[in-house]
Amino acid sequence: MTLLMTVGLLVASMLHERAKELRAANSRLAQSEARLVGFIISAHDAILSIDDRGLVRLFNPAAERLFGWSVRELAGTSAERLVPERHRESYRERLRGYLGDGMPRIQVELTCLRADGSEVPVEVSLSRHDVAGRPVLTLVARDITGRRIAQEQSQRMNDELERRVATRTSELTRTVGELESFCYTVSHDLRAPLRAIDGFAQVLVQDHGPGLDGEAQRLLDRVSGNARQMAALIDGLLELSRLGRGDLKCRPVDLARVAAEQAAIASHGHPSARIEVDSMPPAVGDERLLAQVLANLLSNAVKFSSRNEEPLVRVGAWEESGRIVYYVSDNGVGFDMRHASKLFGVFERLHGPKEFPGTGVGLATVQRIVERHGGQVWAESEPGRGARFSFTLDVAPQQ
Amino acid sequence: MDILLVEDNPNDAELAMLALRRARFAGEVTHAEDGLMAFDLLGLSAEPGGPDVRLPRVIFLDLKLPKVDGLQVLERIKNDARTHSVPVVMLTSSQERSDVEAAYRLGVNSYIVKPVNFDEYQSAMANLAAYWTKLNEPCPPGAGEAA
Repeated sequence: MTLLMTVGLLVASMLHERAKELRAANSRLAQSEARLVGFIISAHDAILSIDDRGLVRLFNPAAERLFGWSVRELAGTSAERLVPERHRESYRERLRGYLGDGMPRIQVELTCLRADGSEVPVEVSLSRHDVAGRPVLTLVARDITGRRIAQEQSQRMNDELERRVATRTSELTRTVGELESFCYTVSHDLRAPLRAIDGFAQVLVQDHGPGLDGEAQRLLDRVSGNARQMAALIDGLLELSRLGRGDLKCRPVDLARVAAEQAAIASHGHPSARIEVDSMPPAVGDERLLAQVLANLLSNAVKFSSRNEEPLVRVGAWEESGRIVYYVSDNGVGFDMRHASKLFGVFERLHGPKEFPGTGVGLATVQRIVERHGGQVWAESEPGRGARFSFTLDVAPQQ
Repeated sequence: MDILLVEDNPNDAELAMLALRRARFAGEVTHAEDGLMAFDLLGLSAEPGGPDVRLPRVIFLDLKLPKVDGLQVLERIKNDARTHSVPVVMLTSSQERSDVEAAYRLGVNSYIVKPVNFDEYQSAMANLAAYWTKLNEPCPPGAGEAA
């Protein structure tokens, strides 16, 4: 009896506990469901679910706002009503795929049909769940009209920008072409009168010299000298204009060999000048143009060190972060670094023609060539302590 | 006629004449002021089979000419059986690659950039005149047309 009573009490107590647990679980479930419903109702995004027959099962207020249908009108009817006529075929096919096996959670952009017949672009997050052994699709949809407009605007602006760039580029190309052709014409047409000035002055001096006094002859020589100087300037301009055109024929160049060849040419007429060419890594470039760079730098170095009792010019190079720095240095008169920015300008000269002759085109040419190769050029000096001109080129790839 | 000088610029024409005279060139130099006058002098204005024209030993041709451009004059001379064996020397200010290429493509025999320095110019003219009118053996008459 006592045992029976004890067992009975125990069972009663267990049943009571179980009932308590059940009540608590039910209450938690109810709370959770209430939270879920609240979340679905208050969600800013449209939420809807579609069962395995393609019928709408859930349609939240945001979905009502987005699509213009009320939940009463749509619940239990085909979700096809939200799909524009022209997309329905592909919708059915995709729906079958989404309801089938192995569909991960995906995100797609779609065009949907509203109740009033208008269309709206939406971004949809789509996932499949199984409810009582049957698949259900849950869709969270967001209106992306604003984003589409922004994208279209940005695309329009891009197109407009590209159109403008193309127009400007073609205008610039035409202007550059016109300038070059102008430079070419002017340069050639200017040479003809110069030839006449020099020619007639020479004939006057040589054939009629006896009839002219010393001063007249000296002045005629000045006329000739100026005509020749101007011809040299025009030649320089023509050369510079030529360098701006034409394709670069780039290949690995042994600059040490080129420097040695140019050194031999530069030292003509300067027997006391010593030019030392160090070993140098090969560069990539147009050999003919790079030879012109070295020719101009070497002839400058020889010219500006010619007053030194022991003129010394050095050519060398070092490698620095993937590029090569080549230099030509001399122990000549040098220059004040305050004027360094003027050095590479066309017709810019830091010395008078009586001090050192020249046209002022040589360094402009050097700069034009080096920059066309994607390199940089600069100079360092101090008055009376020589100068060093450096330029960079890309390293030649290993053979 | 030894030299036909086709040159529109009166300064350049006079300088050429001066240079040749000072270099004691004794041959006959005829001056044409443009391409059309050159065609007349070369007999190219008449239909083929007309009266024979005495052709020059050499033509000194300027590149930039009014009416008919120097390169067109060259093309006409080189494309006509009556004149294509007459040597043509381009005498010009242009060192432009495109001009030089075009001239050689059309069959020019020599291309000279006129020096601005008169001494060099005179020496160039003297050498050219001596080479083409004395040293160079011209194409025998008739052989040119048959070729």
